[in-house]
Amino acid sequence: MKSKSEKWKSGFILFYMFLCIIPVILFFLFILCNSFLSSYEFIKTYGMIEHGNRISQYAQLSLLPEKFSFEQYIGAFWESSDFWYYFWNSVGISGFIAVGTVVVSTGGAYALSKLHFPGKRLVLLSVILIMMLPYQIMLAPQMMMMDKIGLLNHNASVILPNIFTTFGVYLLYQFMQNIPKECLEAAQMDGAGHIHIFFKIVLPQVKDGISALLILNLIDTWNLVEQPLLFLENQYQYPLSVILSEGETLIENHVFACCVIFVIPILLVFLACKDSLLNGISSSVLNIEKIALEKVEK
Amino acid sequence: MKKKNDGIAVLFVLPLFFGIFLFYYFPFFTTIKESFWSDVGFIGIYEYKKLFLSEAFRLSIRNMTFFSLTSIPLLFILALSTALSMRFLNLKKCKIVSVLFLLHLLPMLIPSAVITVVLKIFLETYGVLNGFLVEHGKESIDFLYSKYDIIILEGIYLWKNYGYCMIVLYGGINGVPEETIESAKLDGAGNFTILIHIILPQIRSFLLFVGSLGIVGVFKIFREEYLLFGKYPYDSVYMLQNFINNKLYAMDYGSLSAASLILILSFSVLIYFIFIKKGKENEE
Repeated sequence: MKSKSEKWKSGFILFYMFLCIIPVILFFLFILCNSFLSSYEFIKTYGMIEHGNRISQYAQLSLLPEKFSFEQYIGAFWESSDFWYYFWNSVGISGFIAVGTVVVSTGGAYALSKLHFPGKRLVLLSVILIMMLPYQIMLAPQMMMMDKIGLLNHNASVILPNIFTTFGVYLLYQFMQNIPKECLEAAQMDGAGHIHIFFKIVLPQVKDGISALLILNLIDTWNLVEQPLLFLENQYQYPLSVILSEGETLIENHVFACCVIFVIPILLVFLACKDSLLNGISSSVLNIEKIALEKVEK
Repeated sequence: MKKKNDGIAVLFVLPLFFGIFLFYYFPFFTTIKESFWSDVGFIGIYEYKKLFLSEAFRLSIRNMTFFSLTSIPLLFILALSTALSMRFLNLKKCKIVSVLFLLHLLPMLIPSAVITVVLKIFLETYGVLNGFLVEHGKESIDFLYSKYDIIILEGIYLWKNYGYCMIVLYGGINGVPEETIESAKLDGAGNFTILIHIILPQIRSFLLFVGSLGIVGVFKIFREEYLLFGKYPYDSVYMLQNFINNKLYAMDYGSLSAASLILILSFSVLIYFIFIKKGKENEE
């Protein structure tokens, strides 16, 4: 008797979960299957969406192509070699931002959580404030500043501001708060200096946090659209995210293949970091109360 | 205990200082300057007055408020129900739980450009949905400039954000000790009562975190909105960032700076309240 209602409950909940994940699965299937459309079929189904010739025929939903063809991929890779420029731009920009963020965030988080220095509270509050602000606000003044420094049109103008988006500092700060002070004090009594403590003791313990930071950072930087548009002039400097969103005419027939290739790196990094991410998300919340306590003690 | 200042801290925190100052504080001061001074000198609150009289600004604030008030509660409901479901399945030792976690997180990963490409195929004037409507004798609707836009946007917002929030709440719910729930069940409490009176109070800080994630997400959804609907979207989805963006292209730095400053101040007030409120709660 009890097991029957339990089974109903389990079934219902499983159904609910299924409903939640159906959109994602369909979405990926749609892109994947459509990426195997040949040029001819692409125009047949989506021809009216291209710029230029508007055939007054409506787009049809095509899940399975009648004939599997790698034309889109070949077209994207070989025929228009531009694609690789954009792709490596994306990789380069995201890569540099990732490295820079890890360096800055680990150092900053360590100082904020374990060391004392004047203005510490101000820095912490700034970190939180900057983390929540939408980037739109700073775009205009940042552009003017880049102009003055002379960095406009250089990749660094996109990379540098994004390294300091303080989200990493806050995330790693939470992680480092979990490391007990006694651990560090013991190391100090054994004669270790702060640099030694940082590299040999603290960093290995926040490895999870660093992986979580990497994937979360990548999701944002792989997606950059406005900053490259404003700060970079040359089309060949744009990352793939800009091309996919703005330049419909640049990759016309190969849209789906480009989408697939665009999504693959993020999926790979996600699969590599998924455990750390799952661990990291829950533990990052627990220390909000501690920060609040510290502020009140003041 | 006397708090000694660590000299070495300078080395660690210097890059952060440098970056924050150069890319945030300095532009912040520029913003202040631009909003209070113009080519003709000190103009005081002229820009702010202009802002509050501007129909576009008021529209964007109205929209953001409406959007937040409708979508954040929905986000809570979705994330909470999903977290409770996952916990239920986990307790039943269901084998696909770990796969389900990943699948819930997937929408967050999808780049905005890809979402836009797919949605446009369905929603454009000659898109799939309109084809379907025309085939059945109805008129085609311009989905990308209609009252349905806000529903579409809220859908994207919920889809992208619920996974992360769900995991936060899941971590919180797991933290509630089993014994409390067991003893409540022994006392005859139904599931719903347990939820409201036991679980929810214990995960208060997690709910707060989800709230702040929700607010940040409302601002982040601008990118999808801009890519889908363009610079001058339908009235109900005109967001604050649209306003700022359009002022940027019109080079109206005064309004731009005033709006930015108001936004920064609002966020500061919000964060202040969160901290002071949390601090007082902990004192009790």
